[in-house]
Amino acid sequence: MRQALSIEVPLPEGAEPSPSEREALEALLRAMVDLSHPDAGAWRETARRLSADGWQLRCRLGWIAEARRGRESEQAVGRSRDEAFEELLTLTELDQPAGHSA
Amino acid sequence: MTFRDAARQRYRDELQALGRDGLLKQERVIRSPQGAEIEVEFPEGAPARRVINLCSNNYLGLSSHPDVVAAAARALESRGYGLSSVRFICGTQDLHHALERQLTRFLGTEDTLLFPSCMDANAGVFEALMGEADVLVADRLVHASIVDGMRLCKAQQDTYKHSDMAHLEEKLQLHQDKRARLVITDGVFSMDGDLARLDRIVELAERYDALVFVDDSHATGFIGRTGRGTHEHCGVLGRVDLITTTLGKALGGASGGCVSGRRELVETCRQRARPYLFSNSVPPMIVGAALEVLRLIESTTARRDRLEENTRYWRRLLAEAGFDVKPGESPIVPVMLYDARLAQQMARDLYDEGIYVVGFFFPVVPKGQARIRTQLSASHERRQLDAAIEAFVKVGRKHGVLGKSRQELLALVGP
Repeated sequence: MRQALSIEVPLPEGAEPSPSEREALEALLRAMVDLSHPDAGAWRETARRLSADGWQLRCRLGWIAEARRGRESEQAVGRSRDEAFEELLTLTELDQPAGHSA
Repeated sequence: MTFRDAARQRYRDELQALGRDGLLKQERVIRSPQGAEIEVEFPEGAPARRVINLCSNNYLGLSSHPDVVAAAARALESRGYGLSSVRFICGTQDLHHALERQLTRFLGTEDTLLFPSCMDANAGVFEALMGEADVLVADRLVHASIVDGMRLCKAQQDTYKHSDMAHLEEKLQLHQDKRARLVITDGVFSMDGDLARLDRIVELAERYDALVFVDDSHATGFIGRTGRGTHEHCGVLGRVDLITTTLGKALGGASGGCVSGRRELVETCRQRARPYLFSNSVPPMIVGAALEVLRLIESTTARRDRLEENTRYWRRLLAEAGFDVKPGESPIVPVMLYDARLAQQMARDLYDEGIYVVGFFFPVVPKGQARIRTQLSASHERRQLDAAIEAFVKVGRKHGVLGKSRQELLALVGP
């Protein structure tokens, strides 16, 4: 099996991207690779099987917001960061420890 | 297959951490039927002692009522022990339909479907009825089983601040673009004992075209003039779309629950609710006993009236003694202590004085809201409540909490 090709592009000297800039850059590049190589990976076969089972499919880019506290964790998805965090807030507001409201 | 040492150690560590944080739940073994007084063996192996029970959900005192026990025995004899089936395959007896009809009549709804528990009813109802085009809008203090049910549902989820009607209205306005809106609340909130403002909730739901869901587990059988629940108390009988409730508290206290409400909604649950479809029928003896419970409740309001009197009496005794009591009307009467250690220590001392109560503290209630939750029963006699207040005063004096405000109580224990 051929090794996957990866491309390294140095950032301008002195550039110090913030964590969110790095996140955005990586997401953007991953999206570009996926869109420019639509036949790469196994997704088409997975999609074909799901379609054969009657599922109507749609795949979109979005944000994933996560919250962790001890062993609790919540994850929400949104089309925008606002939307993802709004959903995350609702999930954490609903969070209840064991024993509550017995 | 062996239980690997690493896995065993992981769970041991987690349990030890719970112990360190004071969150380990310990079962106290009861050697008598449930009642106003019970025989408790605690710690396990210690001689059993008789204590006054102020922490059960046996609101109407029917858990060990002879007529209820006899009805359970009759059903056991005539219909057997179990059904070995889910309801829709070969697990529905005439008794199940009879109980569903009786509950429908009692709750003033159109139809009812039994579930193995109210936890199961809440786990199944939202996913069965609401889809991704819809929204669930829940009070932030709803029962954990509702939260779990909401998480299983594909509908959008939102919350409103506890009993804040302006906030609920805001949320209902916000979600006018959704196909359907479902407002979700407990009837009586189990930690504070306060009642949902159902009259206002129903009014808002009607104005903004929303459905209303109420979990009335801590209300069915005794809240309202004839004990029908929070909807009766708030004057909205017939205007609540969905009620879930339990047979495991006032209605005999064994197990079982139901969804009751609009005919089409209940029938949809019958077709789609997974805990109904994939778990066994409620056992005949519980169904038979629940029918007897409903007969007893409907024949007289004496028990719910006595519970109301006991609640008023107990609240007055606590207030006069100088305890900080959460105001309210329900038989859930929290004695506020605010500090976790104080709540734990007082509960232990009260047990030594023959009073069985439990301290609740973070994370079960918010930080700084530690309390001892007392719960009244119709089966409590005056002498028992008088004995209980004597013990509360003795222990309260010992800890110097009588007549103290929240600030003074917190200052008492220090940081």
